[in-house]
Amino acid sequence: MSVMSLLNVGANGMAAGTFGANVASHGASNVATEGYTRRVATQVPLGPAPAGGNGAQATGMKRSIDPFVEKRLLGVRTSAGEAAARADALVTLDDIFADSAIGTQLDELEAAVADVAARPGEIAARTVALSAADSLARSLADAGSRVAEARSDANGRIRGEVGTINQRITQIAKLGQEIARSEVDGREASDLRDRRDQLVRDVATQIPVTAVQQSDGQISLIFNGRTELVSRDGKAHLLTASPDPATGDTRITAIEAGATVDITRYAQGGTVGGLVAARDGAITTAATRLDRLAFDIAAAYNAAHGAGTDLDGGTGTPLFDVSATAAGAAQSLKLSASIAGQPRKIAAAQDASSLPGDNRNALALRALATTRFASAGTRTANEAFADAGAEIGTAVMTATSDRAHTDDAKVQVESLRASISGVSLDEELMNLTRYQRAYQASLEVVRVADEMFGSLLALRR
Amino acid sequence: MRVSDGMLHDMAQRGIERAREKTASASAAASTGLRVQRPSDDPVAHALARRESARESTARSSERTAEHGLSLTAGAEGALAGVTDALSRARELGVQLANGTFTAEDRAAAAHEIRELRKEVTSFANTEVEGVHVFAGYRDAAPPFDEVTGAYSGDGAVRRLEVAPHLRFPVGVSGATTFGAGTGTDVLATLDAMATALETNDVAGVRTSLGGLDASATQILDARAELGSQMRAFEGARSAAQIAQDRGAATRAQLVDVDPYRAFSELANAERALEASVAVAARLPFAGLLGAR
Repeated sequence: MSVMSLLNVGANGMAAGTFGANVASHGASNVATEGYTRRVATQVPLGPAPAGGNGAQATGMKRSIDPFVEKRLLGVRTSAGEAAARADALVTLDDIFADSAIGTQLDELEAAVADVAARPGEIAARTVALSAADSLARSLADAGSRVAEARSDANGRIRGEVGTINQRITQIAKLGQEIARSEVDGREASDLRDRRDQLVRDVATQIPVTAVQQSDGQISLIFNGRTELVSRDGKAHLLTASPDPATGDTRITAIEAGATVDITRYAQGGTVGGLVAARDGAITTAATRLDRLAFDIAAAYNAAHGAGTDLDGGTGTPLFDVSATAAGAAQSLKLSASIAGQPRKIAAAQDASSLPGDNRNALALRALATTRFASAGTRTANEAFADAGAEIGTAVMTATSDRAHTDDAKVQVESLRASISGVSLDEELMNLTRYQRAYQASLEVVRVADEMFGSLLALRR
Repeated sequence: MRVSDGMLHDMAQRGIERAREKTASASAAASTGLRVQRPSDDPVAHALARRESARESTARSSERTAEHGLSLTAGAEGALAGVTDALSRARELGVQLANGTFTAEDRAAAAHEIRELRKEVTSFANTEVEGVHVFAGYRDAAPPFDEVTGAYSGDGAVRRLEVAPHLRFPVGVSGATTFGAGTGTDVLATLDAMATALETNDVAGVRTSLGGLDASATQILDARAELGSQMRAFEGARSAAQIAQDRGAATRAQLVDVDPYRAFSELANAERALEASVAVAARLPFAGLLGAR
C-alpha cells in the first residue's frame, strides 16, 4: 500500500469517467443518425485490493439491441416496401380508367352513329361520326401505350433496384470483413455494426432477406430462405437483372451452386416484389383487357360496316385498322386509312339502289353500342370497359390500403426498436453529468494524493 | 416504455403527414362534389356509374332521334293536310260544274284553278323537311314527283328510326301508296283527268273524276292517320328517353356524388386535425434537460 496507488486510483477513475462521458456525448450527437444504436459504457471495479481497491476501469460499451425486434423489423420493412412499390406502380392505371376518355368516347361514337342513322344523307353527321371513331381509336391507343409505359417503367425500376441491392450487399460483405478484423484486434466495431445493420434493413425493404449472425462477427444474408447474397465466408454474390428475350420483361437471376437460376418469382416482398407483382398482375390485366376491347371493337365495327354500302354505292371499307391478333391491339388501333377524311365512305345504306336515304346499315352500326360483342360475347363495349376499370380499381385500392396497413405495422416495430435502441437526449445528458461527477471526484482523489505526497516530502526536510 | 427523441419527432412528422393527406382528399371531395373520382375510390360504384352514363348517353341520342322523327312526321302530316284542303276545293269545284247550268267558259276557268291545285299538291308531295324529301322513301335527295308528268322517282320505302335500344319505329308514309304512284288511286292523275274533262266540257268525265277524288281523299286521310299515330309514338319515345336520362343521372349521382354537408364537415374535421398536429410539432423542440442548463 502506497500513496502512489492512490494516484493510480485517481488516474483510473479519470480515464473511466472520460470514457463514459465520451460514450454519452457520442450518443447525444448521433441522436438524428439513422440506424444508430444506443450504447452504454460499461466499467468494472479494479481489484484485487490489498490496497483497498484500484478504482474503476472502463471495459467498453454495450449496444442496446434486441435481435428479435431487429428480425421483425426486417419482415415489416419487406412488407411495407412491397405494398408501397406496388401502389406507386399502379397509380397511373387508375387514371386511364377514370371516367374521362374511353367510356365517354364510346358514348359519343354511339350518338354520332345514331345521328347518321337519323340523317343518312347528311355529310355533317357523317363527319362527326368519323371524328368520334377517330377519337375513340386514339384514346384506346393512348391508353394502350400508357399501360405499356407503366410496364417498361416497372421493368426499369426492377433493374435499378437490383443495382442498388448489389451495391448494398457488396458493402455489407466488406463491412463484415472489417468488423471481423477489428474485433480480432480487440478494436471497437459498434459504428461499423450500425452501418451494416442499416444496410441490411435497406436491403430488406427491397427483397425478403434474413440475416444470420456468424461467430466471427460476420453475417450471412439469405434471400427468401434459399439464395445466399452474402455467404458465411463474407463474400457477396451479386444478382443479375436482364430482359427476357421473349417478353422484354426484366428477370432476376442468381448463381446457385454454379448454375444460373431465375429467382424472379421468389421475390414476393420488398420493392422488387411489389414491382414484379404490379407488372405481372394489374398491369398485365390492364393491357390484356384494353387489347381485347380494342380488338373486339375493331372486329365488330369492321364486320358491320363491311356489310353496308357507302353514299356512292361502294361496299363498306373497314372502319378501324388494328393488329392481326389481340396482342397489342389497343396500341395499334386507329381510324382506317381507307376511310379517314372521307365521310361519304360511311356505309349507312344496305342497298346501292336506295341512296342516299337508306339508313338500314347505320341502324345496324348503332345497335353495336348495345350489343354484347365484347369479352367473348358477354358484355357491350361500354360494360367491358367499366368492368375492366372495376378490376383495375380494385387492384389499386387493395394496394393503397395494403400500403397504409403495412406502413402502420412498420411504424409500430420501428418505434419498438427506437424505444430499445434509440437515443434519448435526457438520458445521455444524465449520463454525461454522472461521468462528469465521477471524473471530478477522481480529480479530487489526485489532489488529495498530491497533498499527501506534499506532506510526506515536507517531513524529510 | 422508454421514449427516444427520434420517436417523438417521427410521431409528430407522421401526424402531420396523415392530417395533410386527409385534408387533401377531403378538400378534393368538397371542391369537386364527387365521392368517386377514380376507379380505386370505389371500384363497384365507378363501374356502375360508367354503365349508367352509357345508358344516359343512349337515351340522350334516342331523344334526339325521336325529335327528328317528330319533325319529319309533323312535316309530312302538314303537307298532307294541305293536300286534303286542295282535294276538297277540287271536289267542291267538280260538284258545282257537273251541274248542267254552267257554260263551257265557266268550266275552262275552273279547269285553270284545278291545274293550280294540281301544282300545289305536287309541291306538297315534294315536301322537304330538314333536307329530306319525306315522300321519296330512301331516294330522298331529289323531289320524288315530276312537276309536269307526275311520274314518281322515289322508291316508296319507309325509313325506320331507333328510338330506344333495338326499338325501331317507321317514320313517314310511302309516297307511292299515299299518292297512288303504281298502286291505289293516282292523286295527281285524278286531278289531271278532272282538269282535262273540264277543259273539254265533258260533264260525264267530271262526274267520273269526282269518284277518283273521293278515293284520293280517303287515301290521304289514311296516311294522315298513320302519321298521327307515328307522332304519338315518337312523343312517347321522347318522354321515355327523357325519363331514362333523369333516372340515369339520379342513379349516377347516388353512386358517385358526395353529400355536401358531409363533405364540408369532413373537411372541417381534417383541417382541425392538421392544425392540432402542427401545433404539437411546433412545441416539439421542448428543451428537456438541455434547456435546463
